[in-house]
Amino acid sequence: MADRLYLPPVGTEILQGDIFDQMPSVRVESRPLRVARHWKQSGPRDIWEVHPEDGSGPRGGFKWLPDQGGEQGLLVHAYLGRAMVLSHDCEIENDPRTRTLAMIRPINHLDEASQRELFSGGRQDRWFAVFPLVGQIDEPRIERSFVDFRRLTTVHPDVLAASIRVASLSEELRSAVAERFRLYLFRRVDSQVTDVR
Amino acid sequence: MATAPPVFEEQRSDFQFGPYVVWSEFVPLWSIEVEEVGVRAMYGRLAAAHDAEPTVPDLGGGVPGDLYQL
Repeated sequence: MADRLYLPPVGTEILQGDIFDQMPSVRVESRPLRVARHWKQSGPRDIWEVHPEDGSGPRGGFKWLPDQGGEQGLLVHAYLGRAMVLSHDCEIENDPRTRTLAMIRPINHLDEASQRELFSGGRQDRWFAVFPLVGQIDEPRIERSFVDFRRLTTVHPDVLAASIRVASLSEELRSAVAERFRLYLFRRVDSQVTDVR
Repeated sequence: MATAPPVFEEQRSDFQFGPYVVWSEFVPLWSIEVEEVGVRAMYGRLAAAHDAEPTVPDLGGGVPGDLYQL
């Protein structure tokens, strides 16, 4: 169908707006940070040490600085779920280090009144932080859900390459997501808001 | 004008987010058809606004990411 919003992924080239399954969404909830360092393997189990950032630290000290390589194992809050690639296509083509993902959340994470308002297409001045995704029954099947721009996570490109890509977006939907994300970040609380009502 | 942000389920005291996102919610077909009228129109408005923006000038050299390259 020509008017499908979500399209089957083609090839291996990842595009802005692509939707992946079982992707991490991580968030630091509190301080002190807790750093995990691998201690030893005991049979089938790996045993790790945990060091709070305000403690004495691991042997050799913490490696927080970029030129020290950073700490590899920070204990943070995380979910696994669907996510949308927000990295620009140009960045995907040229930057071998980082991709930015936004969490896609099930629609029942909004109360019913908010669902109706969000999916009515009206009062969009209230909804800069989220982008509604209508359902699609045709393949690739997408449940009604929403992108949460407040829940951004960065991953190495290899993480995407090893994950399940569910769908790419139509050109119109990609442009719509990009515009909404731009407005989310840089909106002014003035007449510009009315442009997208 | 700015308005109060929407209330998300997770902000309720009784909300529990499981370890995995579940995608089994039943959505009636009629509700999809109704909602698509409003949302698809919104998609069109946003896309038109986006595509009408001037393109970023080519500054020559460099790639995205250089500004934060460590």
